Amino acid sequence: MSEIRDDDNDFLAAEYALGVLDGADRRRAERLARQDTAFAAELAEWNARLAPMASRIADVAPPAGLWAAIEGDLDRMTRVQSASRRAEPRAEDGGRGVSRLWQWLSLGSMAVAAASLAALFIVARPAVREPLLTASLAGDNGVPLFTAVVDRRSGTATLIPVSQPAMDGKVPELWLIPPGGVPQSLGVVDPAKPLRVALPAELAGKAAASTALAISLEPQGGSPTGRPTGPVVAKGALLSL
Amino acid sequence: MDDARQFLIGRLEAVSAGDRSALRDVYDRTAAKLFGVCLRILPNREEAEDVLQEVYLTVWNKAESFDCTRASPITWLATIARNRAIDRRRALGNRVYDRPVDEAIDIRDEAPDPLDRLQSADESRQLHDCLQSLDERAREAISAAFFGGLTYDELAARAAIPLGTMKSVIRRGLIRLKGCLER
Repeated sequence: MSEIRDDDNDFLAAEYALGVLDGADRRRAERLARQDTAFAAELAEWNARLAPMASRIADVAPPAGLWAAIEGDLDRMTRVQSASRRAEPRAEDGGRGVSRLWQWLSLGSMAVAAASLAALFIVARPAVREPLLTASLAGDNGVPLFTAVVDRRSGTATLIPVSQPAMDGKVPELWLIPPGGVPQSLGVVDPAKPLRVALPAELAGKAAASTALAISLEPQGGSPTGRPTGPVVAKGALLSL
Repeated sequence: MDDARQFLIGRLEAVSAGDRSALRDVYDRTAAKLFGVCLRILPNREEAEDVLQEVYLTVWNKAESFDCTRASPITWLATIARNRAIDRRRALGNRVYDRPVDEAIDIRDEAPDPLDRLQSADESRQLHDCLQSLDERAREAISAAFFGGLTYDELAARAAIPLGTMKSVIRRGLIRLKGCLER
């Protein structure tokens, strides 16, 4: 144990727990933790070892409105989950846009199996009036891979995987393409867990009808250039509902 | 097991059954701690608030995977907060400005914390002593990584030493830490 071998996996769990890994190695560690129970146990041990350090960080009160924001997210999440479970609109969801939306979803994607549901909430910070925008991201053969819903009133977008593209060791990356503009990354999509990415204010303003969303397959960790480099496996335009 | 810890375990169980008021209780008891964690890692309050929101949604979705025989509730929560904050920091990439070195927490200077009792006091004391037993370079690098979420590259650049040297410093430090904690 005194000798340090240059075998990266020997330290992967400890390094993940410590927080020194870059994005690609973090994804590698998370994959290992899902697949390998011994690795998951080692990671849990390291988390437990290092966690007492966090008790030395001073408390800082979060802003008063934060809980309300969390509750708002919970409301939306609950709607997404119950809608996907039932694959039918729920009258008590109230907002007419919402129930029509789920009607549309259930028509458009057959039944979205609850198991395949990994909602991606994209937080935008716009103050715009237009109601819901939606896009069905489909491959060239017309098979929908993702459904995206942008609710600009609440500044939220939800991405629901419908079916899995063949990955070939790559990762899907989500792009926003403004009309006549260049694609801008909204981040790497991990269908295995819910993921929320901040939509920068300058992008939020561009999330209008006729903007397109696309998914390309990129190397682990995302496009190295900031532009799509791999094949575009799904795309679709945002439409007003 | 103390009352605060037992309370959180019970409330997390209720969260996993879909009890929203239980999530509120967990939030009330832990949000200030986790916000402190996020603020250390992220470049500004806006990002930290956003990530904190994400953390409690993760808690809501994953409470059923919390196992009180494997982790204390505050360890579990702080781990989620750190991982979410680190992921956000990586996603921000170059937009994260490099903070001055003196903002990295020196473990010797941190004020005693009221939530320390959520953690077993012995555990905290032992880790603290073991960190103190490391050489200064290892202790500082490990602290900066844990509190600031810095990558090997960032740590090496900051300490003006080669990447490979920084990896060795940290890996040796982690091995010694593990050995010390098992004593």
